[in-house]
Amino acid sequence: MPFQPVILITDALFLLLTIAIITFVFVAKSKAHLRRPWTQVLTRTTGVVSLTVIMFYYSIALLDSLHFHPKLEQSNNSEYQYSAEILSVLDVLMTPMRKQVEKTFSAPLATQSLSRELIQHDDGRIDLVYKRLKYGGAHLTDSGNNKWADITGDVIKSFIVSLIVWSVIWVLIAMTMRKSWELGTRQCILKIIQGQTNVPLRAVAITSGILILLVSVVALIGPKYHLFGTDKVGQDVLYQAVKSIRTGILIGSLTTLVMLPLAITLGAMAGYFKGWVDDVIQYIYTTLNSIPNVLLIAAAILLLQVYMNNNAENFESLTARADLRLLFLCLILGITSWTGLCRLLRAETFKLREMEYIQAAKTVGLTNVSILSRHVMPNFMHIVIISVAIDFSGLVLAEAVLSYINIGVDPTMNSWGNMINQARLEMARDPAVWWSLTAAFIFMFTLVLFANLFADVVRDALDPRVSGAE
Amino acid sequence: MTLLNVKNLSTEIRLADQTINAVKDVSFEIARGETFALVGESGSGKSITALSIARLLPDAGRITQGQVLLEGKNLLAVSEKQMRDIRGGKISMIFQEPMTSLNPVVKIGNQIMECLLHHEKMAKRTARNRCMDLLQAVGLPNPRRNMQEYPHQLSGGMRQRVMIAIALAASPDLLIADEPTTALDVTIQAQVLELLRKLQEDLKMGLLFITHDLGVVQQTADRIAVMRYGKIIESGPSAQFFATPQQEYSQQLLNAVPSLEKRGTRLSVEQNEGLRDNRPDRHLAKIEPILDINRLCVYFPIRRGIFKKVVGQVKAVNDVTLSLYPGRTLALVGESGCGKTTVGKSILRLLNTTRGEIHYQGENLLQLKGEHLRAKRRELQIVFQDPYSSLNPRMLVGDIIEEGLISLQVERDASKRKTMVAQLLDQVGLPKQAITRYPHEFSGGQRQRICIARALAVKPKVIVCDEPTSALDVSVQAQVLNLLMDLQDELDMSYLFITHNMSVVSYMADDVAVMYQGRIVEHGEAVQVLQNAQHDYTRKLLAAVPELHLN
Repeated sequence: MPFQPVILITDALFLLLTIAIITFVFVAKSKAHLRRPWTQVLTRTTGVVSLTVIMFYYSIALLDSLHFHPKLEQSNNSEYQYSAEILSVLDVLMTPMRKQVEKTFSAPLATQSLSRELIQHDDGRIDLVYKRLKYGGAHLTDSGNNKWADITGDVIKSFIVSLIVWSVIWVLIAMTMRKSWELGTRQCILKIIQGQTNVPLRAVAITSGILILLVSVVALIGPKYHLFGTDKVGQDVLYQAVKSIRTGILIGSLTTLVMLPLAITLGAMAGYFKGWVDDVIQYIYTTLNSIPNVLLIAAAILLLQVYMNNNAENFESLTARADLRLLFLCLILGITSWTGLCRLLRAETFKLREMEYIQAAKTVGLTNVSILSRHVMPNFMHIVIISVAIDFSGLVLAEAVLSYINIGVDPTMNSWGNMINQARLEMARDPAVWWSLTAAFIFMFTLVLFANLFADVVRDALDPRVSGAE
Repeated sequence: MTLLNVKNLSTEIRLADQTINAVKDVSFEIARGETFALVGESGSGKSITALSIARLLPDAGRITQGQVLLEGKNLLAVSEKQMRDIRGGKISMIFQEPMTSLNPVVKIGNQIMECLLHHEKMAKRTARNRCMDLLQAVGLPNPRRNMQEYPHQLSGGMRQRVMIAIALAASPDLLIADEPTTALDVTIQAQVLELLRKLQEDLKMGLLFITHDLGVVQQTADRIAVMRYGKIIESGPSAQFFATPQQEYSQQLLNAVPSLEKRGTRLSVEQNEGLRDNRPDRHLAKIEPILDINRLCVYFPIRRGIFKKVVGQVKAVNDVTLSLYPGRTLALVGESGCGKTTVGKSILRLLNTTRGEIHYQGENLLQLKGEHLRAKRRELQIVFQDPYSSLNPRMLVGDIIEEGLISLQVERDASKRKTMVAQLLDQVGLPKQAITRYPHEFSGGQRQRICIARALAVKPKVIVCDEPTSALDVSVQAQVLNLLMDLQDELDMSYLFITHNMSVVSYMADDVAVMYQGRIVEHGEAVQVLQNAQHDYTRKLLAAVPELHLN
């Protein structure tokens, strides 16, 4: 095999989560009470647009979660030797951006370094000049004054390419719709363009068009220039920002994976059994709540750090170490953040346990476990889904804050928090290095904004008080 | 002289996916000092008519045509600012739910004075005196103290009186009462109705009375209009309506009301169901009681302070002794809060009892534990009051009914279970397709049938019916009562029928137990108790029921 797959712990969990989501989609399709609110989400323009953007982010994170050891180049074909380095599919796709490392800072789309460097001429003269970058715009003429013409040409090219790709995709989509709409291809396309579809496909088409355009711009210009400049050690900032997507999404989703079982079981038990069970659970979460979260997180991360330093032989690579730290961060964030949801669910269960259908279930002899799983839990799931959607964006932001104060993910791992942390001092330079911060901001802002919009739509659809569906 | 004149009023409700014509071309007049009753079943558009008159429709509602003339002035044409003065000043409203109509954090006195200060522009001192007079007029025991109290300190009947006081504060010309007594007990209902009648006489108001209770209508109304599907299908003087109803539907409504005279017959549900097959003569001997409740007590502790010390007890059920005989129906009657539901839930072991014994076929239910209790659950089942909250909205109807069959191991074979579910649905008169539907796709009456099917599934000997029809319209109530009686004849079950509705009691109970403040005050054969009540409270209860008299 030309590569050796590696499954990091977070990869495994992330893939599991993906499978869980896909299963849920299939289950929801067959159950009317689940299908109804989600259909409502899909008929709202905000809903589908934000879903498209989130799916885009999610698929980048997914590509970045398929890790492997690449084959060493010098090894002969009969017997493979693998390098110790761990790469992901995304790394391969972005190879030029990953490998083209400059000496130090450079501005976005620059061809010259940011600050002057000393050059010794052949005749012994010493000059302070802006040196040409090793990779950024290296294909241009010596003077580099045809840069803008070149970029404009590339942008036009990417417009054309993306237009072609986009139209092919959407014509194919329209053709698959022929059967269910009972129309010809032409009418299907017209129907989408005129916005007469049930699910606002036109909005999806426009969003996907913009995303395809952005991807093709990156694909065409990215290898030739540094779109968002380079950082202190000369790494491409765009590459860092894209790699950070996985970290952000993982923090947002794995944390909820840790948090949900705790919140759901404890919340339901506290509300249903009342009495001493309730007292114990309440006691646990009040105690947990009264300890500052940052303190707990810092202590936990420190513990892990010490453990890893003492058992260095167990961790084969830096990536594995960083990965474990990420997992640990998700765990500890999950442990500190289940209390809010637990409290909500406890209150909801208090209400539900007095419902007559629960009493009827008791009279037909159901055990407590089946009452909880069949009658209580399905009836507060809307709260769980709403709060997961809202918490997600909060957790992405929390990662940025924690990394900023150095108790977040491993410093070697790409994350928006780390980018911001590193960019903090660079803002004070003259000329200011603003692009690290800007790139991290744009990527994080987009994700959080659309996650929030999506959460809003989900709440509208699922909350019986808002939708009046129940 | 005409006070209110509604001409060709039409109102529609625009929902996301459809438009409902809630009120269609409705016209009527109300004179000063007259009581006009708008009668109809739920969803007939009577409340929307009232809200249209006061221009208080929900956001989705639109008045599409017509005029509402109050003393010749079209209310639909005035500005919202003027309308605010008319509402409360000339038109007042009383709503159904006295528990939620008052602001819980404002004192009673201030809530009444708010209206006086705004509409009558009174000085504070005079307003206070007027407020006291009003509370006196609506019959509150101690106006001076009541003014300083918060709504939660008053009972339901007293709160409804406060609502009436607020409605009367600005001496309105027209009072709209939207089911003002539906949430109240019969004895309190009688007091409130009497109060409304007296006040109307004194103040010469017009009264638009909205209700579904024909007994109440006969007692209060001068003229009646019957609404159905948003239209007025019949209107006329009260006496004439009850003597000779013109429309089939009106006839049907009157026939659906259960009463003592209709004992042993089926309640007519539809006109074409003309056959009134009599029930087989049911002189069942009282041999051995199937269920014997002996000195049952249920106390709820009152806890105070940081350490939750028990400082007292609410004696919800106090020393209750009852016997239920096989194949008979025992009605447990009483007003809200008297502990009748607590008795029902104690039998099913849904709450903890303090003292006493409940013998079922010689075995004390209160001492059963674990598996023994689960096994006994097959024999005793319950049907609840609210058909909306007694079915899990996330489960298919088939699964709901099947659940008991699985958990009590009535039938282990899955395919046989499926046929049993289908049979049960057939037995309660629902189509087989219901198996794969969700509860929200059914109406209240149909849901109650599903609840009955769920209870029947495990083949019980005793069913506790906890007000199974009080959330339903009369015609639907008639269907459910018919079904319950048919099932009793067929399966020879005993019912403990918990209710506050005396007409249902007199229609179907074999034995009656009257409960008052946690105790049984009277217990005996139904006909005897109803016709020759011994206890004062029973007599008071019976006197308060607005009986429907038909020629």
